[in-house]
Amino acid sequence: MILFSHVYKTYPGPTHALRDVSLEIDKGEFIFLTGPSGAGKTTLFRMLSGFDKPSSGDVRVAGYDLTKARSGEIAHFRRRIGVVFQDFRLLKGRTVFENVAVPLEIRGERPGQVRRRVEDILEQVGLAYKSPQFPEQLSGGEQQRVAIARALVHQPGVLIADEPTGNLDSALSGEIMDLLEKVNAQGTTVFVATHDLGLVKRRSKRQIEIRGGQIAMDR
Amino acid sequence: MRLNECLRGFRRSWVHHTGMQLATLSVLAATFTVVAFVLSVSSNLKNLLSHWGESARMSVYLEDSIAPGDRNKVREVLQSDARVGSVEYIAKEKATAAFKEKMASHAPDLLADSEFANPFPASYQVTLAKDVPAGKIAETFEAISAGLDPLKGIEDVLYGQSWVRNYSAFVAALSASGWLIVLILVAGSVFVVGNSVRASISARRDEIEILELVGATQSMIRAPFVFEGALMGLVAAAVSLAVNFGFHLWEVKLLRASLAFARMAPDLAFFGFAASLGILVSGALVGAAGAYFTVRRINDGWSASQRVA
Repeated sequence: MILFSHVYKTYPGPTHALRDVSLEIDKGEFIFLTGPSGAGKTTLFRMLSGFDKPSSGDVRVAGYDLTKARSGEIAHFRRRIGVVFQDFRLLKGRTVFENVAVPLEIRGERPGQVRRRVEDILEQVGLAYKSPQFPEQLSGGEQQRVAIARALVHQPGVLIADEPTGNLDSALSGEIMDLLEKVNAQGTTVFVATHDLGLVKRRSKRQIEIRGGQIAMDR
Repeated sequence: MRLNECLRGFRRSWVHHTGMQLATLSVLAATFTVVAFVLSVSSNLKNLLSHWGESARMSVYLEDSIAPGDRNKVREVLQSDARVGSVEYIAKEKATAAFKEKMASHAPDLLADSEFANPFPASYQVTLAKDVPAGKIAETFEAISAGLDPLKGIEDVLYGQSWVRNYSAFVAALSASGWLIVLILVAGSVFVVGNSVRASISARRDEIEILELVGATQSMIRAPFVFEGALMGLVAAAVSLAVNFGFHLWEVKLLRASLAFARMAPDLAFFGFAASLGILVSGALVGAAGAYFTVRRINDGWSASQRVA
């Protein structure tokens, strides 16, 4: 499902963000990517989500060779995965329903199908009653759940989340992690980048730790 | 991208970015109004000058001793020239009669003076065809006059050379400077419109980035913005036409009321159907182009990822 093979990423400077990173993640796994700030977590997240390309090495996700993919292919790849950000990245001018519907509309789904799928996923994240509201009218936890609903509505094979609980208190963080585990139990591969080691310890999942741009631990 | 989605996007923009949209529309409408106004003034001025130019005429004076054959030859040459509109023969007697009639109020005895010697030669009065541009009257008269040189029996050719030359030069300069002003204004308006649309779209940069994140292709992202730009341009152009039409009505009313003696009102015309359509289409195109070039700069497929870094 996810394959990193001898991946290097060097930014001008030069800054070596990733050095010889190799890892393999199977379908249906739940992975925590941990590490201190500046360790290379975000760079690895960017590679995984098709937001950046490696300087050398191979990155394959959900059947796409992201090392060679062009702009148009990247757009199609992004439709096959779900991405959740720490700052939610919701469209302020659209309602909860419209935000969640965006990935389906982009895929050209029919309006009836869009309505049914959006209502289903909002029901799953417990926000069906917030459907006509705008993001600014929601709490941080609710906004993150909308973002997760948007990432899952098109039933992606992989869900990639960058610090999804970074802006939330511990109770809300727990809720979000429960939701991600539920999604994982339905067969979706979940990849969560976080610096919250307490959160990781409470869940017995595979943990990959990155330090100085290299894999320091994988258990 | 479906039209429905584009229209929804347009409505959303107005609901959530009302101030920005209003400012953009105002700038577009104001710019188009100025351009349309200059075009209208330039066109009407040209009409007015062309109208005045139609009264220009050339007198071909004939020698008293001219043979009838030579006189007919002069007429034939003039009438066969495509640049000539009309040719009228004025006999000596008719010229004298006209002179006496004109002078009657100043010298009443003149009409009754049987010994008044006829000093006037016979002549051909020549006007130009309507398709001769006002700026070319002088050189056309000169060319026609030169064509008469080889003919016998012509005493003189007059067409108010100096006045006509000045008039033609004035019209030509006005026409050239009119186009120059329009060109400068259009260039300026493209710049103003481009900046205004850019400010409006940049305020919605997040929207573009998020659409990129969820896998929208470039055409999916750009189409609603281009559609919106075109619609804004179209509305702004329609507003500019309405404002100019209002001004035109006021102008005609003013000329009829205050400057009726000048009889200029009939020469003032508003843009015809084709010109109005051209202005509307140009407005839509300028709006769409401004939006396209701006959104293209932001939506390169990687702008969202740059924000993530």
